[in-house]
Amino acid sequence: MKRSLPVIISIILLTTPASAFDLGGFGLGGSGQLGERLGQAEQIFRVASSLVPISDEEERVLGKKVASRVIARYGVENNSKMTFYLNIMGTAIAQRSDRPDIPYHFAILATDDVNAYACPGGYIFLTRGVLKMVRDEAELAAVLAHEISHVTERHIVNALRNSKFMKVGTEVAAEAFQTPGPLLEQMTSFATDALFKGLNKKDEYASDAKSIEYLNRLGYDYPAMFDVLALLDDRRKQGATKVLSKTHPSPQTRIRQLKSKAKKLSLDEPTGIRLSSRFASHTL
Amino acid sequence: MRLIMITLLMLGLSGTALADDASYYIGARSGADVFESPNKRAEVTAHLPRKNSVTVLQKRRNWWKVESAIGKQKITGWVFEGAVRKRYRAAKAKKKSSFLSGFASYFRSPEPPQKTAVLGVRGLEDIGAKSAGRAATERANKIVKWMDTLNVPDDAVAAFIDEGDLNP
Repeated sequence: MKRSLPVIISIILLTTPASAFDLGGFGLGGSGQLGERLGQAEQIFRVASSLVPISDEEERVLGKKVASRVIARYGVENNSKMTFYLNIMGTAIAQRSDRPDIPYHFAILATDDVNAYACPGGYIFLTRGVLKMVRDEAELAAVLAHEISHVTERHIVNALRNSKFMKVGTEVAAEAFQTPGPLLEQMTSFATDALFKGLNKKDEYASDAKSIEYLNRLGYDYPAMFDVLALLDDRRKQGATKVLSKTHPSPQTRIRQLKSKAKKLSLDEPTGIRLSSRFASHTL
Repeated sequence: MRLIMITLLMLGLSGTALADDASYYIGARSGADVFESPNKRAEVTAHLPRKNSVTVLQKRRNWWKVESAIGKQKITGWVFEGAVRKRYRAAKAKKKSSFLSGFASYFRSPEPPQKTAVLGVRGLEDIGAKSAGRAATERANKIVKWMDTLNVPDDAVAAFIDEGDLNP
């Protein structure tokens, strides 16, 4: 019976008229729904392709929408003391960053998973899991500096610009942000996707290098970044960083890359400033 | 013969379309996305947390139309069946069985085992395109607006740097 089944199916397929498999208007002739959708997609593609330059304000509009989706996924921890501490520290780091002229905002995501997200426009999220993992202020500053550098280096925006969306024209750039519509939604989805799927490895290594630069500028003990990566490696072995492991290179590789990059940077001697007691007074 | 086939067909259809009286809850570890229609590309209208009770209104293949609530807000939409579990309750004390029912129990098949958790159907592990389509909720938008108000004054930053003996 099993052997004859493919033969029976073939006979049915050969003898059934083609109209029996008509899915109803899915022809490519232009009159069907698919044709219409392809037309819409092409339109969106063309409009989106024109958005090569993205201004700070446009990036912020996009960032708000992406941040909203991140919050919708995880929820936000209601801890005003810790949130203020995060914002004051983040602002201090951002002021020493390569892009100090935009406002940065920080919040805690209500999940014990160890992860952090940097949305375009300066909306940065750390999970409750990260705050439980780090042991002092310098380590927390290292995580913040890493995320801030994703914003300063415009990693998500560049991913958007380098995507298939963005290959031609520049005409309709401002329109999509001024009158939010399907195009902005498409871009938000792309940016959120990039955030949740993870950036490319080069961007992560670049952010690691930038983070120690920022820590060094502010005077934190920059080897804290190596300690954070070592902590991540420990957590990974315990299986506590499932999402992070999928979206980032392995901590061991990051440490190796960072060590080789740190040699090329003109960094001061490590200050040893860890501020563990100040951190302890704010912890969750 | 035709009558039997029509009856069987009707039974089959009613089995998939009718509402279910059993009690259900969200069993997937990371909760469940609620879709506008039974299609993974449809818009996500809400996210139900784990253990939220749901009432199954309709079943269509692997998609179940459910009604639930988050706080006071009622939510109706489609979820993937893997995220939903049946709530098993302790069986009530049986009435004293008659000889006939006792005899019939010999021919009854045992209770089917409870479905094991299907992780990652729409969970945190399933990151990527599907999750990126999550629509921003009203509450999330309000939180973003609240984040915009979190502006730290320069003198507070200066005091923070000074207190920590960091580079001014």
